[in-house]
Amino acid sequence: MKPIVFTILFCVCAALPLAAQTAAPEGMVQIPAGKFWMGRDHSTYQEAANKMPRGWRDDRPANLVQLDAFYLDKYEVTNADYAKFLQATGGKAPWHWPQGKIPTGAEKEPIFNVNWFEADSYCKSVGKRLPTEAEWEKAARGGMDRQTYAWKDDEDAPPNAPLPAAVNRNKAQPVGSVAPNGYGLYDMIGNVIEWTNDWYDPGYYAFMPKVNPKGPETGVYRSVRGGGWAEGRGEKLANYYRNFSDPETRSSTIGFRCAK
Amino acid sequence: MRWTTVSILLVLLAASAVQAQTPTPPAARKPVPAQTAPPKAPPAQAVPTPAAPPKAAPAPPAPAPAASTPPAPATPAVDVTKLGTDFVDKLNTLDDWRLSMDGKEVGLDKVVDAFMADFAPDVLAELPSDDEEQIGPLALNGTAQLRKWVEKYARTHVELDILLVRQTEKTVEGEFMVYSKPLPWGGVGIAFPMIVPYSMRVNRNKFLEIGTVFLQYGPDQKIHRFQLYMSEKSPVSGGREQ
Repeated sequence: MKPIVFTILFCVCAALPLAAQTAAPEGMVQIPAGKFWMGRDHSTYQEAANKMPRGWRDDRPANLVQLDAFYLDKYEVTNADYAKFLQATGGKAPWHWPQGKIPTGAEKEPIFNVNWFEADSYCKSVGKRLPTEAEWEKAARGGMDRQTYAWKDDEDAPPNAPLPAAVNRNKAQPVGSVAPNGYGLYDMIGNVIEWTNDWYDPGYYAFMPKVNPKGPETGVYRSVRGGGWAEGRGEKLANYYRNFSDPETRSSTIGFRCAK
Repeated sequence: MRWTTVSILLVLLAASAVQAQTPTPPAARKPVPAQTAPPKAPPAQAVPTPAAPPKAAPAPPAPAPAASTPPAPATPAVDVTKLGTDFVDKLNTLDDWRLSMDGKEVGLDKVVDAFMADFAPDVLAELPSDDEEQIGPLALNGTAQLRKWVEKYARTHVELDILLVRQTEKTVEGEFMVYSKPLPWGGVGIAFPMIVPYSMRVNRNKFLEIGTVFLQYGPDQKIHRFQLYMSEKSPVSGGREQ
């Protein structure tokens, strides 16, 4: 009898820390701690031929970055999520909502036409925060380090094959319409482009911190990441592709998700 | 008879004297090529050209009167070899500083300032990364970013003995291989290969790299574009062990 009780107790004790590690908050996924290569690790024809404007080299060099474990929303924040936030806080609805209400049938579509401050307020209201640029890129890679795209390098795909991302569309799609990436996250590439917490500096990668980088201390623009529904094929869908926006801007292609 | 002889002699003497003053017919003259042949080239002062005279040529004579002086070349001559050697000299001074006994950097700012003085504020630089946790070149915009790279280079590299490559074809004296091109937008672009031996400050391990520099000088004599491409880093045997 004693050995059986001891074995059961041992198993329970051993499982507790494991359960604590894997029990992510509802609707979130844990991204494990560790290193990953952030940025573009290869040259392109446009760059080699000196046809690339200065800012387009903002994704080089690639840096081996160490991140602590963190949680990230499985889906982009939806209209329904945002409506609850507005109801609780009395905030202003996005201008494209008719009479301040969610467009019919768009509850599961990602919120857009929200600026950085509104996105930041939303995340804080639910006890979360916007992800850093490094967190966002690690999550978007889905464990496929040093790959150009979240699925696989496009050289392997037929030119007209459908991409596993909500891109090349007329509008945003309901979240989770396409398959998740290696971490179980949906729409990291495609659907809406996402606000991150970092200021944008095209020269940041040259001298960036290698452990839990938080972005430049200040700036004019905020970094946004991930190709959007309006993108076709190409570099804008790459995991390392960087872009930026005025934090006051409300765009029909920019939404967000939260981290913790 | 005596008078007749004397008269004849006097006539002959007078005739010979007259003959000596009269020009000799061409057929009777010896050829004197050096004096009579036309010159192979016009005198230097008569047809000056914008191109610099050959090194062996004597110094040009004093300028002719203003009326016959041709206009000077539009752009001032730039000694591209000096631009190249000066740049390499400044690179080599980046290790000319020391740590004081209490760990302070003495003279670092001075050598970095001297190096940075040649760059335009909006310089675009493409430089190699010396960080094992980075892949790809650094694309730096402006002197603030470039200065970070220069300071890091100065802090981590010692025993810099960078040489601008000399080349010789058959003679003993080699030429600095500085290639140049006037830029359509003003200024001059130069490029040259370098041999870059150095040691790492942290452990004095020695390395050798072969590199090529591209520099674009603007009309303001400042460097507006700086590209440095280095070969793979080769360890040099005989260095001190760690």
